[in-house]
Amino acid sequence: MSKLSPIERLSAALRRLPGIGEKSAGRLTFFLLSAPDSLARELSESIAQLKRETKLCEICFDITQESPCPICSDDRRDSSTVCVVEEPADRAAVEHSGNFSGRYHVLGGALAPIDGIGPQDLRMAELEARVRENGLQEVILATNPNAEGEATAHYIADRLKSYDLRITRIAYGMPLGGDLEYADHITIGRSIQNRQDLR
Amino acid sequence: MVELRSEAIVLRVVDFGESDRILHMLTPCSGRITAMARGAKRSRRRFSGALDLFHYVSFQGVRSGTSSMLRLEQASLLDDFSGLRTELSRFGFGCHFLEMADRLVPEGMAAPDAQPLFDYALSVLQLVESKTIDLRWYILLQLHSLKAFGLSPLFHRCVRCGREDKLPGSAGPVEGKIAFHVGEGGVVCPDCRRGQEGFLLVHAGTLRSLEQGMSLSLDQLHRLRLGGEVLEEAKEIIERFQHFHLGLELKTESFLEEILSPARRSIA
Repeated sequence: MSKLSPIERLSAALRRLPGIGEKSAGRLTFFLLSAPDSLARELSESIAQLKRETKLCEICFDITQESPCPICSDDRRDSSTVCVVEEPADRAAVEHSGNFSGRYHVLGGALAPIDGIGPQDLRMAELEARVRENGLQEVILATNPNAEGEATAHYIADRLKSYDLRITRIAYGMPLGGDLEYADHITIGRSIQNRQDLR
Repeated sequence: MVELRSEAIVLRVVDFGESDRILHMLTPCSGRITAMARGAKRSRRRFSGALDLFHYVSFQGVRSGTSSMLRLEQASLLDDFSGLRTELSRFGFGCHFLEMADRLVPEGMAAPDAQPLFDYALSVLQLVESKTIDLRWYILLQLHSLKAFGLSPLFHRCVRCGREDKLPGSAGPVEGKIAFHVGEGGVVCPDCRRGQEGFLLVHAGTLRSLEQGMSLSLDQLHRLRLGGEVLEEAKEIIERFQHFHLGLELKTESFLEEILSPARRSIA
């Protein structure tokens, strides 16, 4: 097998990234070829640093530079409430809302039989250990409102039902800026079911 | 450009790029189709809540002359089969059924062939939505689905000579177990298998139960009782038959195996 040229090697490596096809990989490769050396150096160093200096928090399994992560080490946060999310990006989205002051648990995905992902592939045992050992009062299930996230939420609720704690699910409803005319009837139905008093 | 308006069941959803999605769908007009939904993750109007696994949707799309992939313009949700998400065995079997349909239903079927398959798929999802799927239901639904997708084993007559009278249970001369040939997809009578090896030996009662299961309609399946030994034998036959004729193990099988394993069953 012939050795790849530097251009072919970088292009092949970029093609392995999500959402990058052959043409995009080629465009990025030739852009980097003509870009200043400093950009290429910064990119390669930051990728190496990303892999070298990040790890998973030993408590919540979010990505962090120090373990436990800043949220798990913050005594001002409510340690009796844990918000369960699928991925670190979901943790960041909930945190960005500014409406949650408890702790998190990152599952590392959702049940997805079609992709071969079962309960043993998620951090379920670790969640159960936190419930058992830390005396949690509430677990908020913030998995995505799609088939896989829903099934995961129901599975977790079922698995934790023997513990004395409140298990809640994030609400369903109309998105901000949404339009009733274009919403599906199931979303509208759930919005009605989950309606709130205004006064 | 050809416009297509139809109904569909979403079999598979794959995120593509920043906000697009590629979908595999089962339709009553042309069997399985592949569609690209541009901007699906962002659009609140064109695809509002419609593009998810199990969803029964009404859609509109266009296909250019050269492309096999449909460009999805709009989709609206008719039913989400929400019961499939609320219990692990239902979810697991529902996903397994979608994966089987995705593998076994050909693209571009003629409507007279596609419509019954589509109706069957809707009936299976409706049935499973209200059931807890144990090993018995798994075997019966699996066998029934394989038959609907055109892949049914032959249990009631010899796959080689076609005779029924040589098999036990048909007033023939042979008692005991019957030879099942996985590759040939059916039972082989003693005369045809003489001196040969490589068969699964299965109780005649198991094969009769499976034959009966294939002949019942979906809403009659609950009548069929299967004992412990029958279940284990039936599971082995169906799994080996399916692996051989599909040429692979479906990804959902390991998930179902975990849910339906004896250890878990004994806990339940």
